Amino acid sequence: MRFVENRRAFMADFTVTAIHGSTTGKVLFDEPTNVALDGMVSSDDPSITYFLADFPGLDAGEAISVDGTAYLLRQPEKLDDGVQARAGLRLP
Amino acid sequence: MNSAAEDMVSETVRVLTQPPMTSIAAASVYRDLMDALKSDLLPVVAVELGDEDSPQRVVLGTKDRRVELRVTVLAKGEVPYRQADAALVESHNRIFASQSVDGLWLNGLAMDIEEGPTRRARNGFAEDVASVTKTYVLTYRTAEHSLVRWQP
Repeated sequence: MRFVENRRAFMADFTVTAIHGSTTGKVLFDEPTNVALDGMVSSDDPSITYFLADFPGLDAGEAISVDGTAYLLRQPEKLDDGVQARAGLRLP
Repeated sequence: MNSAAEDMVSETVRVLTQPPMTSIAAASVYRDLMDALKSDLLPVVAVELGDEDSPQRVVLGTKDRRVELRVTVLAKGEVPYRQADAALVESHNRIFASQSVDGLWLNGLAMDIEEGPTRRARNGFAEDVASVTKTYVLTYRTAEHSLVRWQP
């Protein structure tokens, strides 16, 4: 029997609202604390995972509001089959 | 009793904090970072000792030693290297201004200071952070079988 994948169903319970220009959609938001620079600095490292079709044209450097907080997008990277992408966020 | 290397790094911290630098608060000059600093605390300067080569017996009864001193400026911002620049320049100037009339450095503890390589690294978090590490090589003298400051 063929397994029919529905990633939108998986994301339904864990997403927050994101707004890019006039587009509103749902994204997965992660914000782990990471350590860098030879272990000298730690900081929150926010990122979003989203369906590319939900945010057409969203690209690096553009403003996006995630769950009410304003960010600028870092370079998006397509995941697996290219239906979804993940992008880091930085404060404006 | 401290080793001469320990005295030199302590003196370096004193040189960088007394009087306070204009570019960075004295409380933001750290001796050895034992744990990662939260980026909220940046900019900071971290001072630590590096490696030390085998000593040379240049004069009978004494040994000349060379130890690395690393001074790292950590900063954040849209262009974090630019944010680090003022503290980098002021720290460097403070260290090379420590020469006394007898030609010694760091309150007479070092016979010479050589400028070594400079390393830069950056990372993107919610804010961009960067480190600029300047390495200095301090030459100092001890008695032949001692690690403490040599006093003729």
